[in-house]
Amino acid sequence: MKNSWAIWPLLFVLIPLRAQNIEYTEFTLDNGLHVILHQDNATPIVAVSLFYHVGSKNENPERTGFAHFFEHLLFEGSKHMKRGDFDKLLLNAGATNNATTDQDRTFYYEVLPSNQLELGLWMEAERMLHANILQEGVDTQREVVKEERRMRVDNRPYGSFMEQIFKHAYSQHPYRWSVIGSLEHLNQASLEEFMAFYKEFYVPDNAILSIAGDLDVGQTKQLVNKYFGDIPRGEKPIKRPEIVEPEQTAEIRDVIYDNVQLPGVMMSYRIPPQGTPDFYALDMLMTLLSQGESSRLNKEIKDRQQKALFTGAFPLPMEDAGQSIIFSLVSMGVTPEELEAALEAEIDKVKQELISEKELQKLRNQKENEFVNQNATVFGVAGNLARYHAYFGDTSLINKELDRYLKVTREDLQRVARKYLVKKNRVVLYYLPKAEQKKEKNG
Amino acid sequence: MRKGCVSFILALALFPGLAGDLDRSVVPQAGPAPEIKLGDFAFFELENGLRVFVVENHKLPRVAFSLMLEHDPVLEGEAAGYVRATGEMLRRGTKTRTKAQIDEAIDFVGARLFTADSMIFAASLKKHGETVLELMADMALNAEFRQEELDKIKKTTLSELQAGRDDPNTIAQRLRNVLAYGKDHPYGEVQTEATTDKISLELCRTYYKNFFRPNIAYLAVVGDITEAEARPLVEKYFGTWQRGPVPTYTYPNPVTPSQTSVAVVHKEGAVQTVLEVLHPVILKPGSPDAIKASVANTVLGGGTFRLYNNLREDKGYTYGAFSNLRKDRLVGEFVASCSVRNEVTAASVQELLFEMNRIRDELVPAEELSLVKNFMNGNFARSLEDPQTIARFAVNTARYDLGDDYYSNYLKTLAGVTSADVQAMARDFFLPKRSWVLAVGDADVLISELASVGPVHRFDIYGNPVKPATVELPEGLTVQAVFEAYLKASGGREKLQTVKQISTEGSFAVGGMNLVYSSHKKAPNKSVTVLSMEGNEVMRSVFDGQKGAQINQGMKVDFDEDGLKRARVEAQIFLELDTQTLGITTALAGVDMINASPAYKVELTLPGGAEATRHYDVKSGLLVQASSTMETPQGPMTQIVEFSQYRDVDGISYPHAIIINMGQRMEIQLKKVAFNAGLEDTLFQVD
Repeated sequence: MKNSWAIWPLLFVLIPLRAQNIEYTEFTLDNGLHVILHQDNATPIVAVSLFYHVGSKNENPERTGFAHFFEHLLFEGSKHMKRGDFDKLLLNAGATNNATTDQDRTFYYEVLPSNQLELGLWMEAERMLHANILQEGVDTQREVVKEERRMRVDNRPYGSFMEQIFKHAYSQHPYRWSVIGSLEHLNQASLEEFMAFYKEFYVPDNAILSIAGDLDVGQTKQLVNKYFGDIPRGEKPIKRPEIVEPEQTAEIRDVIYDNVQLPGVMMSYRIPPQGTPDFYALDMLMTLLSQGESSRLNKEIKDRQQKALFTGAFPLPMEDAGQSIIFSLVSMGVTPEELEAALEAEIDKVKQELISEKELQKLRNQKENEFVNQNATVFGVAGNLARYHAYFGDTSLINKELDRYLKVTREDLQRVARKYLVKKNRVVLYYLPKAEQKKEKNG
Repeated sequence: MRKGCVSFILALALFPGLAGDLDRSVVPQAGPAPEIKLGDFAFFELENGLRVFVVENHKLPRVAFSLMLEHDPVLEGEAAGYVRATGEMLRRGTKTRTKAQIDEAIDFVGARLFTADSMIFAASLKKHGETVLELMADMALNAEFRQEELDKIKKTTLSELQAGRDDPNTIAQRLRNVLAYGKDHPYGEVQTEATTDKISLELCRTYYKNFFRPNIAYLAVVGDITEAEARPLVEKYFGTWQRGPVPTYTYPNPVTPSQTSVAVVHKEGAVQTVLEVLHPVILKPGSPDAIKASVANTVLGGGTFRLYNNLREDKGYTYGAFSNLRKDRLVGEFVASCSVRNEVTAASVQELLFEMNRIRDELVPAEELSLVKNFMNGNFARSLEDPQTIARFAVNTARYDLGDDYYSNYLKTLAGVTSADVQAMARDFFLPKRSWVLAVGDADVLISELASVGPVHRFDIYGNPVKPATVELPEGLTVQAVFEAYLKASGGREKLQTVKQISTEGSFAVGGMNLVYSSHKKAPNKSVTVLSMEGNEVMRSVFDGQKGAQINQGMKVDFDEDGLKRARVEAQIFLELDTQTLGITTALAGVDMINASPAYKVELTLPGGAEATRHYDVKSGLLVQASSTMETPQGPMTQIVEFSQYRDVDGISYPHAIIINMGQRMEIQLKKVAFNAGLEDTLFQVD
């Protein structure tokens, strides 16, 4: 049927999409640990992940960097794992592992051959129940974190931009300090303080165990009960910050001199938390601005005007009011002022004119593509299941969240552009080569 | 009560492991190894020779297409880089589509599409599959190369080359290829600013015509699609693709050095050295040795293994040390690499060579071999999650003529590798006595540190040999004599003394923008330099003999004491005429290689203490480089200015190319040079 293919695209545009159905089982243990399981026997691997609902925003302002520090500390061993055992055991099991921290959560995972599921569970239970919080480990990881900061932030061109944006954008809310935190605070902290943090946040009632891959649901339930069932829940309720950052009333600007060849312009706007209707509209707006070569900023400023070597716009999905960042590097010979003016002009266009229907359809197609691909791996599925439960209280969004994007209208895009992408709601940073600072001083 | 007890005990018996009797000190054992089944694929071939593989995977409603061309590499010669440029241009135009139209078409369906000189890849949701396949075919069959797009690519390439000048990893990668393959082999050719300049549409078109032919192409169709669906689509869009003769080339294989030798490339101000031990190898994909050789390489440095454990965990020399054994249809390479602090460079080389020797001399212990195999096993299993892996297996089986069960037997073959195999492979493929030791960093430190490793050869960042300065300072040579030689070469002292004013004007291109440079000087000590863009002044630096300032886009900063002292000297047109009266002290400091030519180095101390150096070419006498260091809050910053393209203007020889390097690099081409043109004082007004 030569023409059968041709009618398919039409059909799919009309019918609301169910990209695929991720089936899952979820339940909560008596100690509060929430468990989500997804069975997928296609490949003989399984992803075991632990989502701890603690991030830099839970920290004491005098002890920043704790949440991220624990990401490292938890590799130092446990009651039944000596230093180095964690990595060695996983290597021998043919598994990979990693962990990440952000302002809202710390996430640990392993991807193992499926016949090693029990090993993964045992390890994560060890880390939750009785990780080694010892002076030697603390001392070692302090050095590692110092090196990490050097590599990621100090020695990388523009490496400090996230830290700088958040520092400028928040004066009271815990988002104001960086995730990696202060090395000084880490140096001052006592072993007792680290232990107290561990006891407060690394408890089953503050965690989600999310497992996806080649598993059997019944057997896995048994194993989960075996290793996590008798881990005691936390002794006190989890402290969650209730600080509301006061409204920003004026534009905040700054210049940062860095080891860069080309000036960079960053504009960051305060946006509502993930999951809110305006967040979806802003996400679509950022897609309009910078996703793909035909996007507003790429087409106009990078290609046609040749004012930027690179432009990108992305919203940061966060639990409290976060940021949406436009990041751009000048083409040689262009000043940051000129680039800023060009970016501003494109933002103005969106405020003045509704985007076309065709453009809206493009955004929907781009989002749909993203949505389907985010569940391409068992690691991705495990992470998404945990995330939807933790932040939205609704795991089924793993199959449904796209609908929220598809509800955004052209008017919504214009409305949020006018409401949020305004001067008094933003931080503007110029990253300039250090040579410029010398020039200005010496004349 | 009793009943309850019994059922409780029964429950425990039925579900061992429930609360109470778990011994956490016991590390769980692995379950029975799961069966690893490779997915199936379908194959068909079009009449025009296009070979198509279809790998079904219905987990997600998406589809991906990879078109690959299998042909001999091309020796590009003086336009090195045109093959890559051709690949980039495929994405930017067809007979019926402009770049903007292509961009819009891809983005509208939320797809990804990228092109390279021998490959086009596209991925989208299934419902848009036909759209992207049609686009791909349009690029493969109907590419159109436009000058506008080539110009943009060339400009971007120049920026990339510039950015890479300072990046030791870019330099190392380039040198690795030059050393392993030689500059006369396609794998060792170097793309420079000069070769980029020579890239033409003609070359790109010829390449495209020669190699974009279905008879050397493979198309992998992967995802939510069946053979029955794929076939008519491929016929429809690729059926008209014309087969044609494809040129083939053979190249002599490069050889390993006869003894281990050191290659040093200087990187200014380096506190770290990028270190590689490397040599070419003949190891084809799918050869009987391939899997065994991979195991041997993994034991050595294919993960957190010997090199990592030695140089990082044990000695703390580096953040990571690894090795790679690259297989290739023609010729591949072995590379062991790490970045280390300057002080431990020699020690690091010793450890790298030590490990290469150890794996050749001693059998790998069984436990270590087992660990490595488990690691490789896990990697293989995890790779199967991506449907592209199966496609890759299918295409490789065809293009490298592997047995049909090569990949399905992979794990079995892996399991059968012995310690003796590893040793044999190490002896064949890791050659510590016939390697290049490549070091990118502070050349002075490296040359002395590594002299004991083997004969030392120095290279520039483009892989050209740099001869060491064998020219000694002649006995009795004075600064005065060097100055006189310069003045003579420039037109003679008498003639130069008549020059009271100089005006120069030029341009330099930067990122697509043209800037205009103009600089005027009027004796005894007035000067003004202006940079402008599209008629707007961007920077002005002016000194009227008494005071001076620099104005950056309207922001004026007056010269301070040091700035004034410097300005008085820089305002001189030919300061070699009389340094004494200016209060400058000079000293002859030696001979350096400047752009591969020896040049006398003169050190100057300006009034106030600021220091500068000037280099005068030994052969011609002309000034080729001037540098000065300024103190800044960030520490000392050095500005280096190179002078070349000396041309005669009214009997005076004057440089028409000026390259200013201060972190960023500005290449100014002078279009006008005039002497005594009647400059007014107002030109040098500061306020």
